[in-house]
Amino acid sequence: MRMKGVSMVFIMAMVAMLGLAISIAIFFLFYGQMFVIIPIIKENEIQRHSIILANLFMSSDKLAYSDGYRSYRAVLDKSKLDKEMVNQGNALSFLNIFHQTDLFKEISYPNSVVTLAVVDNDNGNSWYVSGTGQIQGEGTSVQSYFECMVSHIRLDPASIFRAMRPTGPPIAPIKALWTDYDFNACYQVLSSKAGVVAFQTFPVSIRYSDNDIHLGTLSLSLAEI
Amino acid sequence: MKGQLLELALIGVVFTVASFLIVIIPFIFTRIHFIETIDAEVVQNNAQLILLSLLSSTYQNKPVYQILIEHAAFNQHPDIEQIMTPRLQKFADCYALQLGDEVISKSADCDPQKYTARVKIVLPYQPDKKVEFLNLTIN
Repeated sequence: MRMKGVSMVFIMAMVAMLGLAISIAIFFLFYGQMFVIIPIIKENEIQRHSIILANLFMSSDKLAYSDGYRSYRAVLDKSKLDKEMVNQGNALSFLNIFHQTDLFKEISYPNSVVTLAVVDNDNGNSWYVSGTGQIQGEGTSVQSYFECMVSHIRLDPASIFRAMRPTGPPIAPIKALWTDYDFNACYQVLSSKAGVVAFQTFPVSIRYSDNDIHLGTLSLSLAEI
Repeated sequence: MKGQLLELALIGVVFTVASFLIVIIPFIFTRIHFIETIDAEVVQNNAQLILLSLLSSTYQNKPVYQILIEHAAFNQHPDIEQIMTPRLQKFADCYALQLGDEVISKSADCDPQKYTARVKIVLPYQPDKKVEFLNLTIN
């Protein structure tokens, strides 16, 4: 009879320990899952922002072809791309474009870095521009990034020649204006504080003239800080 | 007593498994919901944009929508598959372009079902049928 009481106590203790272990396991499972779900929610929001932003850019008067009455969605005008974005033909004026393009002043999310690239899939032409939305607060990583990029630019003839080669993806030739070390170091300044980055590619057409409209893609990368 | 112990152990196992599932399942469904929703939005948007870009583009200085109209209305351009296939391949791996009942171009080794974009193509000089539907399905 006494042995029976001892064994019952032992069983009860075991059950209590098991219950405690299960409770702890469930708590950590819940906690772990929360850490997975919260970034997914944030990432989802930025993905959604990038889709909205890209659709606005491809309908914007600044990039889309307009016949004077209406803008044509996803039909980008080559002359507007040349004006608002950097390509091999106007690579030397890219600093002005980075600072003066109205594209991001009109359409952007606050505290975000946007990179826009348009590639003509029929002939390989490409355009590129990067900028920020309204930055709230002084001395942010975005300001530091642009200051870093401007201070390390190389404008010697060899670098300029490499930057104007009409080959590769849009960023590739322009990158020749920095050493790999400087380019990566400046990017580190930005990425150290950058939040989630979304990258999307959308089909568009690029209008050279009435009879010459090519197929291309518009890629947008959006980082919200 | 032995039977009661076995019953207790069984209840314990069921309770443990159920507890884990109750915690895990909402997270799994939430995750799937987020990923699937954004994926559907992107691909559906892209299907519409591919169709829009395709119709806006030109082939040998002629708008592609005009080529499609001439094919549907007057049975011109017997090489229409050769015109459309390289253009579609620039944007999608798995696609099917259908004008009315005719499949104009389809990827070789897959059957796209998921996302469809549709536009009406106006047919000139056709009193019986004034429009034809152009469907693009991609996965």
